[in-house]
Amino acid sequence: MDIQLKKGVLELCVLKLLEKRDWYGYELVSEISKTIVIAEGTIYPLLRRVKEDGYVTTYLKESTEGPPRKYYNLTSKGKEVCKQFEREWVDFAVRVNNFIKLGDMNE
Amino acid sequence: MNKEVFLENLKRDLKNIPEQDIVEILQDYAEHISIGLKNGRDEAEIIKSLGDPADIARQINADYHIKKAENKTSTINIFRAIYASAGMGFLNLLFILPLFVMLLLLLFLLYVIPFLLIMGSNMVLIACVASILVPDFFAGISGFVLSLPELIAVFFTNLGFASLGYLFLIGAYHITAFLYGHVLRYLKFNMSILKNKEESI
Repeated sequence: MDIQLKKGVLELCVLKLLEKRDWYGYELVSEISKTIVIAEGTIYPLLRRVKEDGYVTTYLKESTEGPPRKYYNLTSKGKEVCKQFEREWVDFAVRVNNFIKLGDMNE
Repeated sequence: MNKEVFLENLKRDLKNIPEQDIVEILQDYAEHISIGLKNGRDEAEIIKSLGDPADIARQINADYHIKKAENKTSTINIFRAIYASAGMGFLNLLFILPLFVMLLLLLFLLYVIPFLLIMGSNMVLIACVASILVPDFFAGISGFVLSLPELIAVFFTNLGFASLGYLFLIGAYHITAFLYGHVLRYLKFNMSILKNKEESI
């Protein structure tokens, strides 16, 4: 589960953002790279993956400037998965924090 | 590197991906770059922060072929998935290669042994029948002179061997199906380790 969890962190961040509203790729990438240091190009394969898995759907929307943008919309399946990931992540983080605290007390 | 070179390199490194998907992938990156330019960013800087197109292509290739192997069971697909995973890095080849060799050896033994067993015993069966019909046929080809009861004993023993061969083949089929699922899981496990590295979380 833990390896899945680590791999899922980036996925969780993307799904979490999509929970609030629909985003287009560029927005998602800039928002996430504010917090997590990544090669920005790796978000797009992840977006393709979650689309393949049926967690998101996409649609094109005209923009006032430039070409139409591809927006990502979270499906109900995606919402469920997002909640589950979030629980797993919080649980994992609590365990790790407890572990660190325990280590500090033993010093 | 400018936009054109980035997209060209990405396209060049996408292996065995359907044309429709390649068009979509390139559109995603073209959109990203043009929005970045609209926001006043420098083209070279946008490309640099996207990362190496070869890395992106490797990730897409591996995702695509593993997904495909999951959806459709075929030997070509699983070899493509192994190949794509191996493409993720030379170090990873060290994990993949023993698996690949083991898999091939196992498949070889699983199918070749029962095949030989069936072929061999069938030839003896034919020889037995032939020597009942044509006296001294068996002695002619093998040098052994066998009486009729001995011939019948050899016949039924080899009938047993042949049946055993067929049973092994059925077993081999089930073992292959089982292996297929586990190889996929192994590849995904490999991928998850590599992805953690590549996304530098």
